[in-house]
Amino acid sequence: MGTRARLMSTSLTAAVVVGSVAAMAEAESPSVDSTGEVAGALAAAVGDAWAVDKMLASPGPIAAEDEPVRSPAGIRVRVSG
Amino acid sequence: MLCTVDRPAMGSRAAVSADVDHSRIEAAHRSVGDAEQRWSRFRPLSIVSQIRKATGLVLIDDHTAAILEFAARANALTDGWFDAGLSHAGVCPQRDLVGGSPGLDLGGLAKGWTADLVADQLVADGASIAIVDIGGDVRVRSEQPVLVECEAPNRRSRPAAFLICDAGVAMSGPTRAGDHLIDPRCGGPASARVSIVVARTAAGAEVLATAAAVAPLGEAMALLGRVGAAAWLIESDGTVTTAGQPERFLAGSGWLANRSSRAWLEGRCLAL
Repeated sequence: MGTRARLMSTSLTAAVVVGSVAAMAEAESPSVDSTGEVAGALAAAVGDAWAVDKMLASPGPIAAEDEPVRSPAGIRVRVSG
Repeated sequence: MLCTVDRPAMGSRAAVSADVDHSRIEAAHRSVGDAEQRWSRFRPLSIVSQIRKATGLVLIDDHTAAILEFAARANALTDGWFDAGLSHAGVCPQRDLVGGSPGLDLGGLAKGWTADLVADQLVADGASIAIVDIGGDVRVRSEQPVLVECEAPNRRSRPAAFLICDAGVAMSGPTRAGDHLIDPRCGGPASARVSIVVARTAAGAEVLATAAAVAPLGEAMALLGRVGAAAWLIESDGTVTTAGQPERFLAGSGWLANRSSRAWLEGRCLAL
């Protein structure tokens, strides 16, 4: 809670958006698209500073016994702009 | 059986692949299109364009509120090294309003954020494997490990290969076309290193890759250590520094091997 409070104080904009994210639980925007439900859940998650930490943290280990799937040829990590 | 559709989107390309029927993939691409309409600074009617031009308050939707919230928090968490140009303008907290920010550019963050949203959407639709690449920011959500290649910045050296299940990967830094990153401390072009980050989400990886590309090495390593992300940092002399044991995600070192990283740098110099 202390971290959250400190983060919120760093940006007035952030504080405002916290309010709007909280309001999402009560009223869905008329412009919500096909991702609305998932976006709502994600928005609720980022309302917590620790969730942002989690989004940046390293993922968990991979089970060595699982057979890997090769991603399609067009999918590649590239320098993004 | 993976169904894959690759299209131009968000000033680059979006490739969506999942074990769902074609209509779900098309719906995912519509979501990418929605995100571009909202957050592209090159679309005059987008919300981002409205915020950039605004002298007063702008009404924002829930999705935009969420990504702006994340951008503001990411700015604070990275000590300002990730900066989407969001100014601390006057706002009204109860009515989803935000003040003008002439420098707002969600660019790479919008790509990573949208890759996360689309992957989550596909899993909610029943996919057991979802792989989404938007402009090079990749998000995987899979019950099995997925091999994803990482292109060398010079596009000539052998790609590296990562093995991931539920993670995002992003790469930032100079390319053959030159340095495009801005140093948030001075507002001028950054003398950036190449950084590759594996994080829980593509948005998180994008934030960290951008910050770690432009921050001094000590600050970049401190940031990566603080959040626990896995990363490679490649300096202009080819020196490779790692954080968070990224080797555990590496299935093939390719250009990330020391000799190859020097080779891509030589290739970049030749290209310039």
